[in-house]
Amino acid sequence: MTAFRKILIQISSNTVLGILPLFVGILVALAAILLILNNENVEPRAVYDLIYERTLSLPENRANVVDFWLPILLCCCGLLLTFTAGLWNIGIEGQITMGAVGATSIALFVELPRNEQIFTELFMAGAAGGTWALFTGIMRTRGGVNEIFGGVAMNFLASSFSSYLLVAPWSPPNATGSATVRFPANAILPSMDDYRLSPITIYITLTAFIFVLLTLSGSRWGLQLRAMGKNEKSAQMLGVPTERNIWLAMLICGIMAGLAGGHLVLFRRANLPANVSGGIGFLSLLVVLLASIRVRWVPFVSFAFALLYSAGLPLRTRLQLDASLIGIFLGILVFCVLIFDGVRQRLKERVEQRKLLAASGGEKSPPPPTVEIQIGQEASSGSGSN
Amino acid sequence: MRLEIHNISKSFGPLKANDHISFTFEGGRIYAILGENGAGKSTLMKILSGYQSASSGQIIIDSNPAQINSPHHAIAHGIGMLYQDPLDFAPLTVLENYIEGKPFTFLMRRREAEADLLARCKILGFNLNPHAMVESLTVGERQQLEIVRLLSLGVRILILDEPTTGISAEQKSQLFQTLKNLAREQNMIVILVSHKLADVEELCDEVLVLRRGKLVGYRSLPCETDILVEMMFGKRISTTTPQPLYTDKPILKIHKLSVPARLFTIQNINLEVREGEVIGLAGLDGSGQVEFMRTVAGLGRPTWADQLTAIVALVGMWWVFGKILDESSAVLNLARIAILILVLGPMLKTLYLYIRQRANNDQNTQIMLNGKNIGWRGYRDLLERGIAYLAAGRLEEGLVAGLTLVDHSALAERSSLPHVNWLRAWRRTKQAITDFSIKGRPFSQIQTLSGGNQQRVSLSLLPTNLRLILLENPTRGLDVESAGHIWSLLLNRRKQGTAIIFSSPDLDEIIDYSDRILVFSSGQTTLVENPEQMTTARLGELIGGKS
Repeated sequence: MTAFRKILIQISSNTVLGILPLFVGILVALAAILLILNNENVEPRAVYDLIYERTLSLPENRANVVDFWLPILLCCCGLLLTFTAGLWNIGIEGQITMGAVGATSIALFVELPRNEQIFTELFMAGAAGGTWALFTGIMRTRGGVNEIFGGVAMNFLASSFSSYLLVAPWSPPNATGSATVRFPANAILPSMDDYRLSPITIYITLTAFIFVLLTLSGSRWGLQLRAMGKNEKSAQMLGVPTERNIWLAMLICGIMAGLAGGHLVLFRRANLPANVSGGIGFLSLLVVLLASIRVRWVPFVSFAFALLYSAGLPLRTRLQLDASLIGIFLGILVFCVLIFDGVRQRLKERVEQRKLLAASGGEKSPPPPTVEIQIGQEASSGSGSN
Repeated sequence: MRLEIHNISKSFGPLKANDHISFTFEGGRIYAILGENGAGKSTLMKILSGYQSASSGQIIIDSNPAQINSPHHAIAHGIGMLYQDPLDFAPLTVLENYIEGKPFTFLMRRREAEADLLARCKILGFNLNPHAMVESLTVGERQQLEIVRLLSLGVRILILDEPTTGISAEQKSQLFQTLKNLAREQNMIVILVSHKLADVEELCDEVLVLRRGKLVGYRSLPCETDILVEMMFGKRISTTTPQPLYTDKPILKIHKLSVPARLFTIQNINLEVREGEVIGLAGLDGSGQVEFMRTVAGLGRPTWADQLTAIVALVGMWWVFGKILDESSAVLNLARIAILILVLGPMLKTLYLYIRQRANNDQNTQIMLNGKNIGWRGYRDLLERGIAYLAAGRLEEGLVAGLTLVDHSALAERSSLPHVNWLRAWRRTKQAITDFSIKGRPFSQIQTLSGGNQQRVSLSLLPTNLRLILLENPTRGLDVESAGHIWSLLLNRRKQGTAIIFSSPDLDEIIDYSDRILVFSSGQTTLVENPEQMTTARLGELIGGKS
């Protein structure tokens, strides 16, 4: 083996190997994005300046980004639990929608003192989202329905149900069915004095994140979920209560998604619109996939996504760019990072193999001239010819 | 035909699976490769059949160096391998499987292929229906299909990995005759990898012995079995027949149980298992032994709650989707119906399984553990009550690849605490490594251990206070020494009154270790009370349906 190869193996086996492909992936994604912008005759610098100006330059813009980020992070926390358990909870969009519907049902029709009002709304949001997810979990364990198909069906039902509510019972007088009336002030989540941010949502999200972090990093339940994610059948044979865990993981994820839905209607919109989730459930799925189900990465990746999404509207209005381009940019980013993550894993396997081979001296050890025969009476230097 | 291997080496990290192996195989001869678990037999065969490449060395076929980088290359050079579990496609027909792997043609030319298949079967004395689904075949028939397929691809060097596992005595004798004919009449090289010395002595002309990756011995047959064992292990292995330890106290009573299996529904199984008793289940692959044990262990059967959920969900989904079908959009409706089918399909299957199960078992069906009906309870509940099950696929259904031994210990621990006491789990793992002679470290990932060590880990993870252990082929793929150790660990459990029910394709193992034998044949069961008076040939006849 040449010295150059040795050095290459040494370099590539350290952390550079872990980070380099990620950077290459991001660079390739950026190159693709630049190509698209060039095709649209837009200066990349102008896009960068605009994104910075509309997201991070002013405190109120920063608050907007955080407000967009919180429900995504909340959904990601729930998804971390289900993904770890090997449950692809595609039904999170429906859970967000049902959470929003649950919160709206209280906001529109129940009048209580402020604190009780807010508590009941959030309780209903969590309960509705949780129940919706639990249905999918029960169908998975009792009916043998894959959670992806069950989730798609439940998403569809939730969206149809909320449309029905907007068109018929909850439709405001003389309205087109696009949203309910604005909620009374008493029903809306309180905001911070300086920024338009909901402290309650911040507390909930922070609590959810710490809970998930502790659960997945050191708890018995976290270990059980991890085992189920790798092999559910084996986990069951080891005595893990797989059915209970599936229900519980789905329920908790549904509660978190429901609370995110509650935040959307009780704070950001102050009414229930059509398509209330706005795709943040699917965005959260992408975030968790991109973070490779690693809890510590999720806040950063989700914040980056929130940042880019928050810049969607200004891009359309100021640079005459289609707002869907932001979605395309994110898609390219996710695609490239996932591909290069696969490349990283392949490289890692190869380097490990080479390292081990080098350690065992497999390639350099001189071949012995004959085969060692210990017992065979009729052996003749390794030949079995007759 | 001549196959030469020169200085074949293969390393996996520091482990040398093959260490400069050289040998010459001649046409017309049948060779056996013997060796304990981890000796490097499978690696050498995988190198020859193209599934792995050698780190160094050379393969020469008929004086021409051969570069073998894939199974495709190996077949092009005339080398084919028949696996213990044949590599076929269960949902396809025999003919479709036969056509698979042939050089690509746009049209499948079924008629030509069928005529070719039938002609080859006739020459070899096989009786395969080209239109039968492969999933309906026995393991023996699947092996026959694979042999015919490999021969049709021009294979001249045939490697067989444990081919007699899971086939009847009759099928084995037919297989051996075929292999002898191929070697003698067609001058082919046949290489057999097996743990079963009786098979090797019956079939082979030459024996090569591998130990720790090296070729350590070579002999022509016949020779004494003890010499072969000594060559394999470097020492003589003594086997002793276990003494019965059962009492008269029954712990499990099964009354009028019917179990649907792949080939038949086994009707009216009645069995009483006594404390400390070992019961062996004998039968052809797919005759219901595994399904019987899984039913007793509460695995894979729908319960009344499943049925209730399926009915409620079916009715609910049907009603809701009926309400929201939109007459204006055909495409949208199609999408909705597709979702409905995807959701309702599995539920209908659950319902069907439940109804089939109820239809097979009447009100008198009982499974009693220590006098209490455990009826249709699930596995976890039964594990708490003292019934454990170890499946044959250790990494598929038993251990979790990617987790360490310590992780497994923590998972198997019954504790109400929310956090894992890793120090205690580590200590328990260390203790298990010592007690069960596991070759591995506490933080080794489970899939890096050999099959025998994985089985030892599985046994170490079982709760101590079990009443009954059900095992599917407990020594699958293990050599004589490892198998003996697993059995000594299992038999030790009898001292606490634990009963053992196990299935095995190895009739000798069943006869050696069972206090009684339950034979599964053509949907019926027969209880053999005195295994010590039983011979493999007689047991083979019972399995084959001769009374």
